[in-house]
Amino acid sequence: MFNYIVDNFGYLLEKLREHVMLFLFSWVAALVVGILIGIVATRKGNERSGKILLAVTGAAQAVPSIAVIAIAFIFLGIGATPAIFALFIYSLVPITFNTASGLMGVPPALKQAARGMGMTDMQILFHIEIPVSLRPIASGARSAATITIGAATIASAIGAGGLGEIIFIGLQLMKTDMILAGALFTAALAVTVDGLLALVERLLISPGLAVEEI
Amino acid sequence: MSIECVDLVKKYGEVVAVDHVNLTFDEHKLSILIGPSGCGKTTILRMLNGLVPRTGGDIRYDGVSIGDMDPIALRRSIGYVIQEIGLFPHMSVYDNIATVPRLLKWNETRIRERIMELLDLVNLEPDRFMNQYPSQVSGGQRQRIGVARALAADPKILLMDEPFGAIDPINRERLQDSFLEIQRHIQKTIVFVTHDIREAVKLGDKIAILDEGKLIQYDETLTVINQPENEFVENLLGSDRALKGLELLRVNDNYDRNFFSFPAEGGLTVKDGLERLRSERRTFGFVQTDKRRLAGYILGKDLERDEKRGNTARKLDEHVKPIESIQPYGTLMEAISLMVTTGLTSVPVVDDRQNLLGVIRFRDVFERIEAMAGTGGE
Repeated sequence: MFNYIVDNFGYLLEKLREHVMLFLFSWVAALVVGILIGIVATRKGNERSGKILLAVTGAAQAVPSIAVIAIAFIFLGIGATPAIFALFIYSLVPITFNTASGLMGVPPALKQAARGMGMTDMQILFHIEIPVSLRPIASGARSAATITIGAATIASAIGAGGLGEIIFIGLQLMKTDMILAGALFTAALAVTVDGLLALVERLLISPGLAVEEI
Repeated sequence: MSIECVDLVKKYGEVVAVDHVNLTFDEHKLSILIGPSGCGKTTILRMLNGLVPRTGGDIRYDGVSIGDMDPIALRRSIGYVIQEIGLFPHMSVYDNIATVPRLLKWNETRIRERIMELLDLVNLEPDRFMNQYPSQVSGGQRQRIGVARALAADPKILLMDEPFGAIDPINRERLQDSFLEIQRHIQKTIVFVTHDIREAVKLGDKIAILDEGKLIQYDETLTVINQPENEFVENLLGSDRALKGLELLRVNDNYDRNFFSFPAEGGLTVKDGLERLRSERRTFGFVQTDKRRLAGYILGKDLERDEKRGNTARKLDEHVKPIESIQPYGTLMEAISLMVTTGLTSVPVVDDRQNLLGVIRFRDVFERIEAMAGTGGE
């Protein structure tokens, strides 16, 4: 396997770059849209739709990634765009779910105190609700990142490129070296991204939320 | 600033939560809203800062209708403390207290000075607590921080919704004491919701009793105790009404300024001591330093025991025992419990520098209980 990696390092890097792009486009878009949906669904007056959203996104997490990619293929054809769209939909689910459930979990007393002190709805959202629920939001974003990087290998099946291409070719040629190399790079990417996000999470989340109750 | 509720009504559909309530919360006074759950006390409080919109009637701040005010600006001008306190867990103690001043766009220097002052006021060391997070401090400390936060922008009015409700009884007493002390300094107009009649009697200048949305009685606390409007109020006050009155009466109005004391380290012997006690017809004497400070007490019985053994030349100072004291603004209830715990029927009254002022006796307190029970008409 190591021989394969050394001999084809340039090719591997190119596929890695494609893979990162597939992941980044879909994940960043899902982050923005998912958090927005989560916020809108938990605003006052939207309680019903918020609960429905939680139920739907909760169940949707059980849909296998290959099914989502297959559907995207049926409607959008082959290439990177349908793959990114499928991955976007797929990572939207945990981000929306965690944002909505995190915001719903903010103790009503905090919101009441904030309102009673004269904060506007926007100030309550940005100064209280989002900072307090950053932990679930961040963990949703992290798990979305990991599963998107994994699912992106399957996206190669519809011609999107990425590290999955190496695995698929390896399967066709029965070359274990290639399969392992593709899997190793994918796993390394997932671990690295998760580690980076963990670091960002530590910087963003207030230490006040990390301390154990005494 | 006084707050006037005029014919105040709140309906949730057909349910009447607040039923044509008329009352005025006086300036600089602590007014209590009390009643069983569902009586409308919290609803009224939340109507005062516009968190709950009213169905009918009016609320007037120094005559100005709440309808003519911007609700956001109104809330920023009123201190607000709720039972769960609602400290923001992701903010340090400093940032929590800074909330309203920052909303009002104070500059950071002024905010910092104000926070130091407030932490001092609620008896928390600024250096130690400023940078801690709410989860790192105890429940009682959190409560104090909540009060400091409510006072941050120096509001004229404080709304408090069962602020001590979640605190254990011992710490609650302490918090109430220090809160009374704070109110003595700040003299805010306070509306305070509670379901605990002891707390109401202890803290309230006036008490409003509510039942099913209706105002049953609104009077000075002592008037409520002595002249309950009806059976409902009597039941709320409980059978130990007279005892509750003791929580209201201060030692200051009931102690004897005449007392007998020995000088500490006055070089006296047991013989001298006995002679003085006998000539004064006393069974004990306090001991004071030359600066009038209370140093303890000496029991006649102890001296007599020495006399029997012929130890009359012994130094009087060897018989000095430590003694618990009470301050003039302590309540008669506290005086009674001191008497019970120390087993003494007289308790010395001292000022905050421990200077001896006088003595409060069991029989004086008991006379007050009898007087109160008598006016109750039971």
